[in-house]
Amino acid sequence: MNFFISENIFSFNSGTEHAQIKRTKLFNAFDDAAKYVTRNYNRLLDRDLKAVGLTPDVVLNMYDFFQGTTDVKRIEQNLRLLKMLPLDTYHIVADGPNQSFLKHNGRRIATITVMPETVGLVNEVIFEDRAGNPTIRENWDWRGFKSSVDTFHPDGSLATQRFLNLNGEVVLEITHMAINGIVQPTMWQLLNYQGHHYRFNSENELMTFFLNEIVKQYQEVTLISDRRTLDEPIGKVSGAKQKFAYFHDIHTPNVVQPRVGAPYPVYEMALSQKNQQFDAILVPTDAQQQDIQAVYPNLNVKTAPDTFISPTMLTQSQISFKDRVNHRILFLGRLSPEKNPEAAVQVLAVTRRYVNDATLEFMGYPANEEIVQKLRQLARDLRVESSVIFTPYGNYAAVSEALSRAQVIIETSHGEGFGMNLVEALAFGLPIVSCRINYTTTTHEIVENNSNGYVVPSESPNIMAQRVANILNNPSKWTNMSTASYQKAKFFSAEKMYKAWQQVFKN
Amino acid sequence: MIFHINATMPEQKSGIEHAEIQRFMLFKKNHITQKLVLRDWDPECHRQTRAAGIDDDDLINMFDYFQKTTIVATQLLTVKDLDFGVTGLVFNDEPQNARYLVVDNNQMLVARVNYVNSEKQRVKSVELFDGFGNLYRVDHYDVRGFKSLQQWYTPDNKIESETWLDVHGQPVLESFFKTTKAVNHQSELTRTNWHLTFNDKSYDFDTIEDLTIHFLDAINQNFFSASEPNIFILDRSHLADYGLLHLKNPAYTVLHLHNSHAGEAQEPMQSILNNNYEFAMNALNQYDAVVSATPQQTRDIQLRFQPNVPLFTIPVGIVKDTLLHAKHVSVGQRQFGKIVAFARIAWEKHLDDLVRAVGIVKQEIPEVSLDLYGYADTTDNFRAKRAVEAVIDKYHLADSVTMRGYTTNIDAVENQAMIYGLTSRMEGFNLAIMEGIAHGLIALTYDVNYGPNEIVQDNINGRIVPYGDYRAMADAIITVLRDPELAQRYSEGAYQSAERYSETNVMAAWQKLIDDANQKWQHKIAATNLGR
Repeated sequence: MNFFISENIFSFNSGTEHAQIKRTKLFNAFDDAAKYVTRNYNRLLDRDLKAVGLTPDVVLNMYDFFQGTTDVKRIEQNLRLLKMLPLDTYHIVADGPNQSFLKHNGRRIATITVMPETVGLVNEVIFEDRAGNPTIRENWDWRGFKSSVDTFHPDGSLATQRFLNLNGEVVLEITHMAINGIVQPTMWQLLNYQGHHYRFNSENELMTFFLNEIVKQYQEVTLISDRRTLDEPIGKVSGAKQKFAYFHDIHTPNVVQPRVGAPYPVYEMALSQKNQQFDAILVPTDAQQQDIQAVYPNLNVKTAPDTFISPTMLTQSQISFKDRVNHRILFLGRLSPEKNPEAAVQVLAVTRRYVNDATLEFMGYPANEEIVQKLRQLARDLRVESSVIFTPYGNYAAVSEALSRAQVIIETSHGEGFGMNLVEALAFGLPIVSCRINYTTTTHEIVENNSNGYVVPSESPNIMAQRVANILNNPSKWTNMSTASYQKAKFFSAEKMYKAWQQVFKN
Repeated sequence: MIFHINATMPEQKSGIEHAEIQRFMLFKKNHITQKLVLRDWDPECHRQTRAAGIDDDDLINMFDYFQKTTIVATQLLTVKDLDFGVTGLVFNDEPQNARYLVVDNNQMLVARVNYVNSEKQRVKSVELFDGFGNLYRVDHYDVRGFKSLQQWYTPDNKIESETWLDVHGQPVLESFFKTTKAVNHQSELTRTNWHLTFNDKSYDFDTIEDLTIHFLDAINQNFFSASEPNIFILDRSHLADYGLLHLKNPAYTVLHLHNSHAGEAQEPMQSILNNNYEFAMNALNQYDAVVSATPQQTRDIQLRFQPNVPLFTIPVGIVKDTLLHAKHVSVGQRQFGKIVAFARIAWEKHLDDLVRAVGIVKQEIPEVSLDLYGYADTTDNFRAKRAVEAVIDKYHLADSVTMRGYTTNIDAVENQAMIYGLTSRMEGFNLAIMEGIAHGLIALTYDVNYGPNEIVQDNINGRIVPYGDYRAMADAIITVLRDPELAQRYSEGAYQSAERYSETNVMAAWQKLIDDANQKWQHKIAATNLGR
């Protein structure tokens, strides 16, 4: 059994989660049982895992495990059909589509919120006292059962979180008290777990306990830590056949000269020489492997692919230049400073000198709203406001559509562990114009200059724009480059990735 | 089903609890289906009710009802039965504090376990600390050996919520303390809410009184019978004087007075109402019956309020058949001049007046003596006790007057003594003087409302002297002590007059009320959709 472990599956996932999702699918496709294991409490997990194309049987959440709710089929629990509400005593009064009130003879005693993206399904029931202070908040799982109950300190902050099994019994309890005057969770207690109580001082202590429990249930377990925040609890697990830490990103802020850069603090535990709790550190590229090995000669560091292109994508029909939105440039990725999205706007502005109808589509969830405002302001300043399109981050289908309608993808990031967005672009035959960055353009694996795109110095939006214009203004060049991208895509096959992983596991 | 409603059944009982238990035992003897209903949470409840002779089966405590712990087998729970979820613990016994300090292997305090030394270290409560030294909760254990209540603390160490559990440790009832504008001091927390999960339904209440109505509704429905009514006898008005008027289903509700309805019992027509009964007196006609213990009080209520509700006079004291038929002890066999009083040493009992009377008597009859049985009221730093002591000093009565504390050994004391003295400011009935006459004690009392001037029949079983006149009380004592024949006549009269409070007579008085309830029940039922 393989457990790929991180914090969560989100509504908006980063490359780490996408890589982990794809690897989970890959292993299971080769009948090598793997589960996507998550630590964080997420009562919408059933929705989120389906949104990324996983099935509940290959996802295992720590809270679900202790709540005994790993295998629950969804029912649609309408808030008006809640058995707990005595409707001979209280009225349910609708207040728009997002919430209803529970009223006793005209006075509100609770607010019932509606599950996101549903009509009338229960999300929370928040009881309040006569002064409007919240007393109890009951939280429903996407699958239609009451999953947890919260209480509050007098100032309204969380006091306790109680997690329930399907019989409504409390099986796990988090207490929020003060450490150095700051109120935060201070205790996780498993109640009557196999006849005993267990008290933990942190969520990660509980995580180690949880992983030990699931490791016991299987033979020959491989654990992969996909998030540095989980290296510590995974490192302490005993009984696994092998344990790896997978680095999805560049381990140091010095992306230009990784060998002289100090690692990010969160990487220190995995990189620590004396405290080697992992059988190996895994990285997506040989270049990163060599950089780490050079600095940490005693460490076992190996390369294991981060992503693949599914067989169905590889066999889909190619999309021609004219079947795409004419002169559409795509930026695909999170809108956050390290991805340098401002450069994309600058590239567009310059490109439009040569291609006057060029447009730029941003697809990615913003790290914060301020970034979007900044990008809009920059677009206004450069007078390309009406040519910049912000598409909300979407599921695979939405991403595929964006890749299908673009003619060029640009990569402006300062550094990438391995640009998964560009690998996906290959599957859609997109020419790539990328800055020269570790570890995405260190080899020709993704972009080969002048073949399926261009690699340009990172400090030059002007040069990047010229390259983009060059492609957009030459349909025949575009066709050659697109064909080259389609060709490169074939190197990222599922078989190849799985074999590479088998090799890693073997040694 | 008859429900007797009270708050708790504490070890130190007041007259209300004594009266209620006597009634309960009388009904039991007469095979009347009944439950003692206690409203307040009390972890020692079942020990106390069992000690009072009430089976768990005959008791419904409101919290037990919601916790589904009405019947739970008792098991001894000690510190070794507790699971703290932490390994490597050390248990340090501190017998002088009746507790264990439980520490982990880093010497961090995990818990303080408070126990009852005299009961094999039975766990009473556990103070729990998290891994960062915060007291986050105190768990309270029922005497029967299960965790009953969790009190949760704020980070700054105040109780912020209370959670009552079922026997499996699952929350069923919670109460919350919040900051509200109703409180002057912003930092003070007020209990603002009760949240009940019962039979898979959730209910929210502002006050324990609202919760009590829900509870009374529930038992009224549980024990509903189309053929006979549930009779709710309210022994402490604050518990449900409003609530009983707001039940969903019909019942027969009885307001039972245990004290003067008037704040000044000697001025029953004018004085401001006894605060405990003010609401009920204003809502009198909404009850089905009102019980008072004496014909005097019934008459005064009739005169002052002219209510439509039937008033019943039913003694709250019952002289058991065994006592009633016990061998009489003649005055000659008793200690000459021995006066006793069984009462809390409290302001309203005015025992310093009784001591004054004894002081006057002693100047004429040196053999006179007075024994006071009852614990001293702590109000105003033992004001009443200090008043008694001052009079003892003034009249040099140290050898004659003794404060003997609370006793249950009534037979032995009263079969030895000669006179029962009573100089109270006010009374609701006074079980003690009734017990006194049943033991052949000559009863001497002020003319005080209500009870003493009914239990004592002037010149038959003793004397009623003017209210507040301790000289007259002294005269009455002297007269009796100087006339052995008169004393014997009063003593015999006392024995005889106790017959009024016989089990048979009191039961007959209750039967009239029960008959009234039964007679009205079919009309009540007919006015609803029930019983069809």
